[in-house]
Amino acid sequence: MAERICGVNTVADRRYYHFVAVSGKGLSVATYWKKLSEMAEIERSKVTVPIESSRFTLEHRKLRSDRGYARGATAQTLSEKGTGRPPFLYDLFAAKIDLEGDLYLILGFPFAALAREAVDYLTDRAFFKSSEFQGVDLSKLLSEKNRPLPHFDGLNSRVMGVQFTVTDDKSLTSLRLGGDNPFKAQIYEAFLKKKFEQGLWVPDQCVLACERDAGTSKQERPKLSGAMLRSRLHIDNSGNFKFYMHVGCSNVALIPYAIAQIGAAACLKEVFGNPLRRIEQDEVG
Amino acid sequence: MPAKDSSGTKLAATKHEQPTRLWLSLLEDINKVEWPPTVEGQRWRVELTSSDTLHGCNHNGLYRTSPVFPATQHFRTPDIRSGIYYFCFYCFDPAFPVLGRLSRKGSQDLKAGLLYTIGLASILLVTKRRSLADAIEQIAGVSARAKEVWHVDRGRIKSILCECPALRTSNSTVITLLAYGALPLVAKTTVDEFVANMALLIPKVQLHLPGEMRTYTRLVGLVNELVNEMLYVSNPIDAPPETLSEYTEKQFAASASLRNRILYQNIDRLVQINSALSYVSTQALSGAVPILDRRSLIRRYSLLGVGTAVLALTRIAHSIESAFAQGALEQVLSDRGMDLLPLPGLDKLPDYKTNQWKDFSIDSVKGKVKPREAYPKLPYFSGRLGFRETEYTISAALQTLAAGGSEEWSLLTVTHEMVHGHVRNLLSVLFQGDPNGRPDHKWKEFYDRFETRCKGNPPARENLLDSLRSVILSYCCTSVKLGSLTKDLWNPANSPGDQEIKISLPLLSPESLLLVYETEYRNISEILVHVLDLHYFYNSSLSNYIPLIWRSWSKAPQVRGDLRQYLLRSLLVIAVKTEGTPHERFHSARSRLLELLQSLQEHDGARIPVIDEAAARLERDYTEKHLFFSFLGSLILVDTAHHVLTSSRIRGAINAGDTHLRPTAATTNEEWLEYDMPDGFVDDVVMSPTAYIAHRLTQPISDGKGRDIEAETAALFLACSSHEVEGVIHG
Repeated sequence: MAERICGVNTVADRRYYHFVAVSGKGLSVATYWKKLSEMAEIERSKVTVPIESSRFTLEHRKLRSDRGYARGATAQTLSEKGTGRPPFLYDLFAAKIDLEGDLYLILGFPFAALAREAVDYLTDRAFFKSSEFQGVDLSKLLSEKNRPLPHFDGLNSRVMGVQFTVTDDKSLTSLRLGGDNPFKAQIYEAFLKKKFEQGLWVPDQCVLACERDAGTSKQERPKLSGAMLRSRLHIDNSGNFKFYMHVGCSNVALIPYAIAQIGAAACLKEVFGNPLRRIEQDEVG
Repeated sequence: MPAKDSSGTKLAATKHEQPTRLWLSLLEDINKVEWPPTVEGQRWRVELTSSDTLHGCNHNGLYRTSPVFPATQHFRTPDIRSGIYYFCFYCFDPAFPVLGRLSRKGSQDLKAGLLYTIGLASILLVTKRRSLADAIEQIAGVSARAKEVWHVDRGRIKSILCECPALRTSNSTVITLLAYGALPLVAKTTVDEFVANMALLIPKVQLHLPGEMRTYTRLVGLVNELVNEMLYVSNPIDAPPETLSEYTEKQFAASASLRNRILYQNIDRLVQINSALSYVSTQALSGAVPILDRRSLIRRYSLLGVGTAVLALTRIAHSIESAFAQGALEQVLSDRGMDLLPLPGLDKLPDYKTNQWKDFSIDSVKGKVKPREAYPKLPYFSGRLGFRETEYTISAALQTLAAGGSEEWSLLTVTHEMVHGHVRNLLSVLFQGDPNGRPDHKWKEFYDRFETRCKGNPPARENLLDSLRSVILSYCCTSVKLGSLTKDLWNPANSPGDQEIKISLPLLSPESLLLVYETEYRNISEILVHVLDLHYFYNSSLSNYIPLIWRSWSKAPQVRGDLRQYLLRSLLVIAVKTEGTPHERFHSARSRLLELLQSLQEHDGARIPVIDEAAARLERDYTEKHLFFSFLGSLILVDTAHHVLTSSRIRGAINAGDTHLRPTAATTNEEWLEYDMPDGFVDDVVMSPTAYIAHRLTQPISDGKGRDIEAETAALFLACSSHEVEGVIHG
């Protein structure tokens, strides 16, 4: 029987990761790890993050904790000894983006509850004092002007889903459109377009399908050359980014590009407080 | 998660224990008689006292005072009797996002002295460092509209520095009234009073609330209409003015009674306006820089006044009125109502069928709807009137100044009052008829058409207006037999049982029907208002609406005295979301109401007597005997409001463009939109104040006895005054 791969030798993959973005002065990935290490032990992992770029820094670490955020097989995989019992080792990602002088720090966690606790911890200790949480101005991102979203350094993103908050109809509070191109759907063209443009139906969440050839940029030295990196990025307007990690988190390199692409379209905006407060409890864990 | 502290648990943020209520007081020396008063001569003393009550401050002699609230948990109460302090008052508009910026970006020193108030000077910094006063505007990124700094040495004011913009326009550009010298004495003096009121008010409004000038300009226009009518009826020569075009010159010449009626009606309206202006003048502007210039007449706030609270009330009223103006239902009905198809299903009145009504609703009107002109309302707080709406005013209960963030004294009650104005306009359009027709002729025509409809034959060229009138007049006729909100006609012979109820329509004479319509007007209005209020401001969520209105009713003595009416109102509004026969709807509504009231019976460990009593009545056969028949008779109004008179344009306009609204995880069988904005002050504005208040009421910042409702209420006023609806009032 093959030895179980667990703890520091593995990575929590094939799941959604929760990311938050902050912007401000004096942000660095190193300081982030340092500050977070006051909360719990941070270890270097044996998993390699497939990106190196002058524009981006993306790092991966393991957080050791006695607290369980998963059950069953996932808990076994994350536990240090593969027993499903503490301590557990959680995969964290942190990226720094330099977008023409504007600095963004992107922090990723495999579980919403862990994300919320870590961000609350850092907030309480003034880590974000000189920075602002960033969310997406969805009305702007999804406006006709930004469809399709301008390519960014080889990254192509298209809208795969959008949810509108409905305030004018007594029988409806929200409506979600999914599909290859919801903005070309008959229902949108015939009915929703006007509501959206008048500001009566406000987009609350959207899903972007992101795709990039790992070897398209001259700036980077990809470690997965020739492969297409793909993922879905779920965005809400509170500042939550939910990113689907493929096997081995091989597509994690897309996350800085995806957020930079939104930033380049001038659709990032300041939001207030920990965005993770919006994550529903039943999603936690 | 293990934190790296000794206990091995995550460290909680250390919270500084907040002081109890803080009072900023200015103590005056009763023996100092000096005119004009000088800072040196008056020897004013300042105190910042922590006490639950004003009496607990132990002030002696004359004083002015106001409650003030720490803006952050970093606040530290200063000992102002030792050393020099600067009391810096700022009037920002809006102040809410400025407090958001200061809370986030201010230094520890700044936050240690940062307070907020419900006066126009809503931000107060108490500091030993004068330089921090400038830091406020730097962090805010905008200049304060006005500011004032008190230099206080060991508790005594040494100097006062005021900074206020200079006035650019003169009064004469605003108050341009028709020459009214020819009016009778009382009418003339009433207009004089208006002129004097405006002269006092306008310069200060221009200075401190420039956005509100549109309201006053429009008000002058309205008063000119009243004056013009009074001038005409005082000397009716030539054709009457357009606003009196339903009468002829001949009628005016022949009828002194008609002339007097219009004269006295208009004087009465002017008296209402003058009274409201006095309130507005003393409430909105007392406490404006220079702060010591005027003393607020609401003595608990005599130092800084309640200007921000009045501004919040103003902007809430504007946002609602603006939405109604966008929907322009009055315009739609009066311009197109005659051409719109009548409601089907009225062939066997008082029985009716609603299954096709949705297709005939106000929403189904095709073509562009031009927003109507918005009607200005003068807002104020009143201890005597409580929540009330009139043609020109909107008042909120005085208790809301301290407790408007609580369910019992909720500021959201304003929506109900504003909907009353909307419904009054709708009813007046329905019964306005030909603008040039005589009132008695019009009534006869309405009656004849209704009579034809009652006989099962549609009147000639029947239209939507006819149908809506038929609904209301049918209700009036059946109310004589079945009772209404205010009329309990139960007798032991009447018992609904479980069988289908058949009711007949006793067609009244024209005179009796008019009398019943006038008597039932308030009840008709109440029922329509409840249904529209639920849809427009409570997201059609009964599980939020019913608890909130009952919590607010629990403090109103008249509710216990007339419990039947309030139970019936609740059952009727719940009936909106029921289906089936009237009997099935009644039982379904009763079960739902009982369920909702039972969840409310205990609050903070104490029983709420009025809710106990209401629930007890619902459990007995009382409902069948005393509520069912009136419920049955009133259902037609509920269904009309629900299917025909709710406008998605209005509902959309109330929250349009506000990105904070989003569906919440449903914990009941109803959806709800929450207002997703973090607690406390945020560097943002609240575009939809009613949605913000509804959210705060349904998801309070904290539960239980630790809540500082007054501080929350003050913050609520700042939030609700943070966004000015543009283009509400057309001059």
